[in-house]
Amino acid sequence: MTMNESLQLIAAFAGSAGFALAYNFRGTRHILMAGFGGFLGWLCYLLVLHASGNEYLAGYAGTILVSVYSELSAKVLRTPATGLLIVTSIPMIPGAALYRCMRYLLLSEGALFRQEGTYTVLFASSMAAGFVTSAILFQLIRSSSRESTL
Amino acid sequence: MHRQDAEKYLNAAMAVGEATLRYGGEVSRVEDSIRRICTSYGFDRTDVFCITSSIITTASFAQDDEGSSTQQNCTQTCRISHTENDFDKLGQVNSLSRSICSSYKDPDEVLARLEEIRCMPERPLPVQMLIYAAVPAAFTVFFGGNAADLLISGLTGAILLCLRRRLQEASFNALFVALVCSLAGGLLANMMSLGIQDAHAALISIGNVMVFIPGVKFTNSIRDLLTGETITGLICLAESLLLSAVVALGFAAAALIL
Repeated sequence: MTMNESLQLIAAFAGSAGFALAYNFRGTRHILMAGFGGFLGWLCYLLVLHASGNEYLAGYAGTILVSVYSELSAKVLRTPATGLLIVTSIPMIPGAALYRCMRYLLLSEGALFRQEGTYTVLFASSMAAGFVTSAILFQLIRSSSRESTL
Repeated sequence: MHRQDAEKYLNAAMAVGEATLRYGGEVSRVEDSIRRICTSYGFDRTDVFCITSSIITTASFAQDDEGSSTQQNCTQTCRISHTENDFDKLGQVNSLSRSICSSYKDPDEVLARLEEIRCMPERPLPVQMLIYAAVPAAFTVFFGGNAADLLISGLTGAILLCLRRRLQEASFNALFVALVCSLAGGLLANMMSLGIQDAHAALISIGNVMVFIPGVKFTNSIRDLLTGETITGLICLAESLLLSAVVALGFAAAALIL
């Protein structure tokens, strides 16, 4: 792990915690757990990226980890998982790529726009696929635990 | 159940749904909580259709008229004009919704509690400025900025918060607010980094872009499309593309001007 990546991990923690504050999370525990989720997600992204060399796979894996983490911490903190999911996934969200893509469109840089646009759509789609996968996973767990209690 | 009561119950359920959507809850959560509340108030069947800007609910109940009962329907719609992310309030509304489902609550009591939640005080401005300084500063470092970039980025973020507050109070169009803020953000980032040797205007800009760019909305719109919430997905996709184009226009124009 390079110096730059260690800095990114700290910044991911601060970024997620900062967004948690901006979206009006209350309570130190909530904010720290949001920050830690952002840290974990980015760590997972970097590890899978190094192992596989595929950014989309890394985004998919990171999103699944963050979703599981958010669902579990939402249970502990007794809040809806939605908010936690949004702030913990923020370091991975392709906001910068979306910005660059639109910027190239406005500067009529056709080739760069296509390249950045493809990346943005594919990366957002792999994250969306991660959200859907974990949602299905949790539905399966919930329905099977309901059957076992009957 | 009488029609008057039914309308009152449905009204309370709709108010909870509206608040959930307004404070950043997702569409499926709104549909789910309205359905559950209506069921616990004794409706036989509830159909809810919710998109980001509107909720439509039809609930049916048995009305007793001197011994005989007839099946009746009532329908209410609700238009949502703007939404924000406020997860403290969302959590409160969510626990209110749960408490209605677990034990009977008078509809008037529900409406009073919602009003109480709406009026809860927000954080004081200096604290908000600190928060909105920390977020862009963190993302500037995330994308490779140094200590000078971090400071300029934070300062820019705090100034932009004040500007955005002003514009929102005057209730300008959301796209216009985003355009003015990103133009100002780009100008501030470029001007402040002119005087300082090892500052990078591009990294300071990208840190501040992260606050305005609808990356979460864009990603969630694709998730909605994948899970069959097609209308919500398309609305959010169109909104996020338009907003991100406006933000890019603002920052790019500032870089070109200077």
